[in-house]
Order: sequence, then C-alpha cells, then structure tokens
Amino acid sequence: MTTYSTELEDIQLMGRVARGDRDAFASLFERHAPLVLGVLARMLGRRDEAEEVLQEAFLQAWDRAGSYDPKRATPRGWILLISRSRAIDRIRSRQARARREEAVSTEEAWRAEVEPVGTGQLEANERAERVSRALTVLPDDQRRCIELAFFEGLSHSQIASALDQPLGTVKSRILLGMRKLRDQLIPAF
Amino acid sequence: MPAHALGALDGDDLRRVERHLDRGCDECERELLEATRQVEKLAETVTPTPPSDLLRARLDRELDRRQPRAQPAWVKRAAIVALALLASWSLWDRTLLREEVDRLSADRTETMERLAGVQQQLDQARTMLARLARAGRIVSAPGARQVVLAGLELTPTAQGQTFVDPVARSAVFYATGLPALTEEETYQLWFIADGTPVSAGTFDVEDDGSAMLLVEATAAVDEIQLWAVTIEPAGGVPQPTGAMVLKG
Repeated sequence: MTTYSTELEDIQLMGRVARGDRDAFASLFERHAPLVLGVLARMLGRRDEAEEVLQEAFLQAWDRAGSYDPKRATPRGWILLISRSRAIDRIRSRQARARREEAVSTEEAWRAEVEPVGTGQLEANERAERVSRALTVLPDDQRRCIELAFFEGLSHSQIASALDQPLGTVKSRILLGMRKLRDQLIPAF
Repeated sequence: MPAHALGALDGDDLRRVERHLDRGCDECERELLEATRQVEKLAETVTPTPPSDLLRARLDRELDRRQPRAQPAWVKRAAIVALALLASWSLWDRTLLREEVDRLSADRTETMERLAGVQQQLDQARTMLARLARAGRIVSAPGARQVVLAGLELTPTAQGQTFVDPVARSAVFYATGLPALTEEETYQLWFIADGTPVSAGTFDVEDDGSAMLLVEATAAVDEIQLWAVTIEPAGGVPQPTGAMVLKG
C-alpha cells in the first residue's frame, strides 16, 4: 500500500527520471513493477504477454517522464494508466480479431481469452478472493461493471453490450460504484 | 473522471474529457487525481507478480539505446507542485518537507549574501559621491585658497594641491604620482600654523598613485604657513617623523 510520503518520493523519482536518471528509474521499477505486472497478468491472462506490456509501458514512462503531470495522477497511478492503456489496446485488438474469426459471441470471445492461465503461478483463486473482499461493499451490478472496466479493459459501450444493459445504466453504475469504493477504500487521514 | 481513470471511456466521451482536461480545469484535475488513487487501490487487490530477470535485462538494453535528455520545465516546478500537493494532504512527510525548506533557506541565504554585497557596493558609491560633492563645495567656495604642493627627492614626479574654504575652515587635498606604500606605512598630511605642524589626516593612494583627503578642520587660512605630506607608520603619528614627499 502506498502512502502519501511514498507518493512524494515517487514524484521526486519521476523528476530524476525526467532528467535521465537510470537509478531513479530502477527505483520506480522495483517499487511498482510487481503490482503493475500483477494487474497486467490479471487483465491479459498470460505472464509472457503481461511482461511484454510491462516493458513497453515502463519504456513509455521513461520516454514521456517529462510530460508527467503530478496534478493529474500519482506516479504509480500514471504508470498504471499507461500500462492498462496498453493492455486494453491488446485486449481490444483481440476482440477485433475474435470478431473477424466469427467467435460465438463477443462476450464469450473476450472472456475465453482473458481467463487466467497458469493459475498456480498467478494464484488466481487467492487474487479473486482479495478482489472480492475489496469489492464486497458494492452491489453486484456495480461491482461487475467496475471489474469489467478495470480488469478486462472494457469501455462503457462494451460493458453495456456484454451485459446487455443500456449505456446510461452502465455509466451510472460505474460512477456510483467508484464513489462507494472511494468511501470504502481510501482511508481517512 | 472515475470512468476516465478506469479507462472505461471511449469514442466521443473520451475525446470530450481529454479536450476538457487539456484546456485546464483545476477541479477536474483534483477529481482525476482522486480517481487515479482509487484505481490504485483496485490494483492493490491483485497479487503482485515480481518481474523476471529477463525482463529487467531487456529493459536495460532498451534504455542503453536511448539518448540522454534535457531537464523538462515541469521538473523545475516540481518542488512547488509537491508543496501544493502537501497542502492538500493531512499526512506530511517531514523529511521531504525539511529538504525543501533547507533548499529554499540556502537559496535565501545566497540571495541575502548577494544583496549584502550589492548594498556594500552601493554604500561605497554613496560615500564616494558624498565626498566628491563635499570636495566640490570646498573648491568652489568663495575665497577658497589654493596651494600647490611639489614632489621632493623621494617622489620628484608627485604633485599635490589643497583648497581651503576660509569660512568653513575645511580643506580638500588631491595628489597624483605617489607610489604605493607597504602595509606598515601611511601618508600623512600636515599643515604648519604658527610654526607648529598639525596633522590633517592620513591617506592611502589608489592603484594609479592618486589620492584625495577631506580635512574637516583647519586653522584660519591666513595662519597656515605650509602644507606637507610625510611617510609615517601605519595609523599616523602626532608629530611628523618620516620622510617628506610633498611640500607647498
């Protein structure tokens, strides 16, 4: 779990990375790569592909450190954003390919591809349990929407299509769910 | 913003939010920052997976190929931004804050030292200007008496002049062509009145051998029989003891 002091240190590290400091980059990598890789593995379901995306994302963070804006995201949040964005691109590319190959249904296609493999290595059961614990505060429909967006990389419209729900309903479920999570997950300081 | 932080926006929604953020909106930026933190919390529900050594090696190779770069503008503002962030947080990292305070204190000390140097130069310039103005008033005073001093054996090319304001009984002395002395020595100006030498003050010469001395109190102008400059021990003496270099 990150703290605000960690966050400040991260911001200083980002400053050094922007000046081309490899040691600072290595520190950021050691701090955050395991968590980001965990998320990517959960999203993509394959360790090798997750590592590829992690490499691309950290290289992008190195290249674009100068454009990082601490007012909009924490360094870890920014790296996570870049990483998830790249993972989402891959997932959407898979979906497009799946559609071209006339998979049975859109939902089945992406569900089939993102199911974790190598469950022993990735401890999928334990992970699912932890996710579930953190999200138990939410009604099922809100939790499902947030999981689909965060872990499967689906957009509003894709979630609406996958769940066969109106777009407006999906949007409001995500908004309400995130607000509720904010109250539950962000500790009071 | 929560949906944007989740990556759930696409199409027109995504473009609209990005355009809005690019135009600059403090409130939405704050909301986005909070939403990003929520997304981080969601990420923390996943079991961390240590990257392989192979991945580390690949990253190192890729970084080796990249060129060094210049410091971007935001880094220079990072300290200010960090402080602004701190202000919005209840939990302060005292160590980091102290570093910032130390840096700003060092900057302030340096600035104060430079300011003191400039102030000193300004004071010197003001003093010089005041002395020149005073000398100008003496030289141009009605009935001012001018006396020319000639160089003697030790300093044959030296010259001097005194101007005495007869009413204020003050004088200004100028000299040129005087050699620099050692630290243990000084030039001393005298006027002889009623047969007695009276010290008018000591002076040093500039690099070009020139000197100026203001004399606040002299004898009555008609009583002054002679002006002279001698070389004396540093600090001056009550009665002349050293070699005379100018007389008139």
